[in-house]
Amino acid sequence: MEKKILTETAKYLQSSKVRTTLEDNKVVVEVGGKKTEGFVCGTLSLVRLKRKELEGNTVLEKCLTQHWLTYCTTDLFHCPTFEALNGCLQHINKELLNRSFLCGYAPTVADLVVFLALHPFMCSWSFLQKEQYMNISRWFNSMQKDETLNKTYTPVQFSRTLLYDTTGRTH
Amino acid sequence: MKLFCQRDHPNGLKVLLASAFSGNAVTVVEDKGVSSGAVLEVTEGNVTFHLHANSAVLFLLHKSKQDLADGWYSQDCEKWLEWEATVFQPALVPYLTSVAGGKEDKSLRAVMDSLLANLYASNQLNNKDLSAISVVFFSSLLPLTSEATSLTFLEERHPTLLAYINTLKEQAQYKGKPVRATMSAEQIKEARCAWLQPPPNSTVSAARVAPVLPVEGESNILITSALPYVNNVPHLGNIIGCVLSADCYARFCRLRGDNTLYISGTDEYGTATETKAIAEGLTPQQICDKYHAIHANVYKWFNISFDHFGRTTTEHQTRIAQDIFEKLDKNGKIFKESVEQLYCIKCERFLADRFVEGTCPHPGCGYEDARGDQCDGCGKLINAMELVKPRCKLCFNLPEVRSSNHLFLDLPSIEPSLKSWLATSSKQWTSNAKVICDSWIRDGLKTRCITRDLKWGTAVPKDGFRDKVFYVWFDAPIGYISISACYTDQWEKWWKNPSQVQYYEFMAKDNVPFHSVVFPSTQLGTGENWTKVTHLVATEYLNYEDGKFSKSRGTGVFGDQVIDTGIPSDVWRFYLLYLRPEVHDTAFSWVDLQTKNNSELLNNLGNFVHRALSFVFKFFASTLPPAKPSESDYQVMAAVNQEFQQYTSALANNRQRDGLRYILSITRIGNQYIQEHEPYKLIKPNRSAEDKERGATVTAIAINIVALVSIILDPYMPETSERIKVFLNLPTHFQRLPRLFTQFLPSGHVIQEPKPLISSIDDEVIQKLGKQFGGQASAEKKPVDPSEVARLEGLITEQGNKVRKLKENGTASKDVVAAEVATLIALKGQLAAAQGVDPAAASSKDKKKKKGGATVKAEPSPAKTPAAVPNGPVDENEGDKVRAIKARGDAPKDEIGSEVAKLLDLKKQLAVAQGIDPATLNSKEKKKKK
Repeated sequence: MEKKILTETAKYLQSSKVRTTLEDNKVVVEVGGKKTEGFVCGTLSLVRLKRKELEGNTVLEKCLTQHWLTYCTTDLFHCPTFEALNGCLQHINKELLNRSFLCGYAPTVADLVVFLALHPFMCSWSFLQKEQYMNISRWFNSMQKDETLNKTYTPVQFSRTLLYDTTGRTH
Repeated sequence: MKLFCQRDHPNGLKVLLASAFSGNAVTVVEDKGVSSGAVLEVTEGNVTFHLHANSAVLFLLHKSKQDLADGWYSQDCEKWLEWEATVFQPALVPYLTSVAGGKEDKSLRAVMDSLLANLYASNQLNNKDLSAISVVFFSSLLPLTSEATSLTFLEERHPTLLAYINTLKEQAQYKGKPVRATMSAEQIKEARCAWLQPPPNSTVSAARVAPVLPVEGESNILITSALPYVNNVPHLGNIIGCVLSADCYARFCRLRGDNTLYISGTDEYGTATETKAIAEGLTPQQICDKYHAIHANVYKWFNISFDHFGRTTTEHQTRIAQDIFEKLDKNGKIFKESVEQLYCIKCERFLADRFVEGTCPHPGCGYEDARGDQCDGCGKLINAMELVKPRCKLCFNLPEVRSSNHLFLDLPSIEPSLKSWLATSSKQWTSNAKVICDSWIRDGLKTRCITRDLKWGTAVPKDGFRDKVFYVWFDAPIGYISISACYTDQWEKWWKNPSQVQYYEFMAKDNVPFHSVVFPSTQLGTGENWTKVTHLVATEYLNYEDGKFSKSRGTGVFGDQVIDTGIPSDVWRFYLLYLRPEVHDTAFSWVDLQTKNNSELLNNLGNFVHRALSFVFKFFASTLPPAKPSESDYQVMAAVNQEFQQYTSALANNRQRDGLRYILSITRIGNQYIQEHEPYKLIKPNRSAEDKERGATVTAIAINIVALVSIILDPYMPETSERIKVFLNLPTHFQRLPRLFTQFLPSGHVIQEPKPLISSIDDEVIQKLGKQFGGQASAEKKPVDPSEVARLEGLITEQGNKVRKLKENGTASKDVVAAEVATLIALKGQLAAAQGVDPAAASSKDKKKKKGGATVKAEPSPAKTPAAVPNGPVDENEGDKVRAIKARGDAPKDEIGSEVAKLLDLKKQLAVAQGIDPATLNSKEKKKKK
């Protein structure tokens, strides 16, 4: 999972000459001859090389980015059961209650990584499920409006009818 | 910023340390449900964010208000924090859980070993300066040092890492920072009020006046602990399972001011007493007298505060049991049925369950020494009638089948009223008691035979049955009532008063069926208004080191031996209650006993009490100085109150382990309080008047915390509690449980010279005790004197022949045979001792040999190599495993096959070690199978 997401992140960041490999079950990123071990550090090294602002600007944002990346590799990526996944989703949904993105008002690489991880699930969700995780749906919808993401990943439909759209309500 | 964390969680410690280093204050909120142990809540511009521990550490240190050493943060730091969260924690947590559960998981240990090696090799921890890495790893490694097993592991494998943790511990920032929840304003206000208004001087005396009787409208608590069976010396598991747990609760109730009656005694009737009497060549009455005294002595040493410790062989027992029986009979709850039973013509008796042995009838087992009620080979229950080739256990003759009339208790007809009573009553029972009881009820109740063809018991008062006695399980619980009747002739005020009396029964889980179903049914069946159990408190089992307590194998510590260990009874009480198996089985370990004594009792509790007392004694001439508490002092009092209230609620609900931990939290707060303020420096002559006043205040508050500890320690360590009260000259009206922490001792109160409370236990002592009580596994070989062995072997052969002859002739009276057998057994014991084998171990080996099918009855066993020793338990464990798998019945054939193969292999090893040719063993086993 870590390797797949890292490769996709690299693609998104348009980093060429990036090699992601697995060594002893640990993901390793190699850019320009420099190896970085681990999912969190690997992702951060890519971001710092290509688009610094995606790590966040303030100390809090940077720490939150690190927190979410760690959360992905300790919890979200390795849910053994559907109940565990639902637990993670509830947690993320709750965190998104009073802000636009995971780490504040601007998207960071944490949002990108969670987006990449959730995309396959979101595609198969029913409207009912989308409504259950209202905040995730809203966040996901704004994420997929990103140009690069929009091109690469099948957009997920969120409004059930046009009627909803005219009332200005988005899920 | 708010820190939500679980109590004592290492992730919480990380954040608190970072908060201390960076000067960013955090408010601690205890929250059991918080994921991953700790979450820091940060609010910026009306938006709240949550950070897990490692990220929170980075955040706090980045935002530091103080100058931090360069290099606290580095690229490497991110890497190691990620490693800690993703690799180290997932291995550490299960490992710590296994260690805390008493059974260290060896594979997890291996994983930990390589991870710790990695960590150390990285050189990241060489730097003693502050860094994010040191904060994080110090916190996560610290729990390893608090459990004996993992501490030894660190000592052996990673001494440098341990040294590192210990150096950090000595640094000022890492210690003296009280890790406690921040108190709310209301809690502080409450603490202030309580301090300023100590309860008025009442004349209530703490002394007990016999007889204690219930008073209408007051809290009346009747407590019984399962009656220990008289034929053996109780081991530590028995002691914690019933009498000690019950004592802890009884003392707590008395502290609370309840009318409390605590009753127990020895259970003396039944076949086991009769067989034991025959084995020891005494009459059953003599056996009971002998062992009753042993029991009473052990419990006295443990300071068990029975109101009465009686026995079941009394006139009251006969009268009350017969009376209950007659009422049941009158209500039609008793019926007669003819039962076919084995009868030994020679001994002129019906052979009750344990008086008959034979070959197990279960297909595939064929074990030759199956008992009349259960087969030791396959573990299945047996009806004595089904035994193949039954034989009388005493004379080895073939018994005949005779029919005999017996009385049955008609449980099915009582079931409806039992069920409706259970619906309301079982709510407050411990969950294991509920589960066991439910499973009995679910299967539907069956009639139970309540009479036996024995002599040693309560006589059945019904024509046609006068030569029989009551079955011990019908009889024994009635013992609670009859022992109360021995205590006071007004016993019915306790026992026929269910609306006013709360009745607590303490026992280990194996006794639950008879206390939850049979005894209440008996009471209900009489149609009288008996006091029935309202709180059934059942414990799980306490294991010894890694196995079970076993008298025959000599493993474990038994009541009478405990007295000789030289460790005070209070320390035993403390450790057993600390380990009390409330939810899971727990394991007794000598090393852990030592660690808990030296760390918790000596360094924490003992140290605090002694320091506070000696400050007053040395610096204030034994007279308490006046206290002028400030806001921060009230905060400490509020923290003490919080722990104290949790202590009260834990004990009231019989969470006795937790209760003890809350006391230790209070003394920990006390230690930190002294550490923080250092009153011994404040009162130095060269300090300002303000400082001196402050020093006096801190001392006065500390000594009052000691007073609280002395009161609430009584249920756990009564002697220690009493000693502290004497040092303090604590007025008797304070020897009841207060509502809140208060000023127990006013300024001007004079105390006595304190002496150290707790002594440390040395490694040497522990090693010696471990060896002494390890049973076979660690029994040391003593030098063997060959001539003495030869002499004894000769004597034994001679004596063996004599016994056999006597038995063959069949002319000698039973007593004579018994006496000769006793001599033979004694000789064997001497031989074993001369061979340097533990006598208990020797006899168990004899048994093993019988299992193997050898026809040894009395021959001395040739000197066996001590190598045989460790195989005993192994073999048995494997046997249990195979039996368990077979019993489950769902295991695939292969699994059974491989386990059986393993068992056979182990048996073979055992045989080799015992000097038996495995080939003969095999052939015997084959024969058996046919």
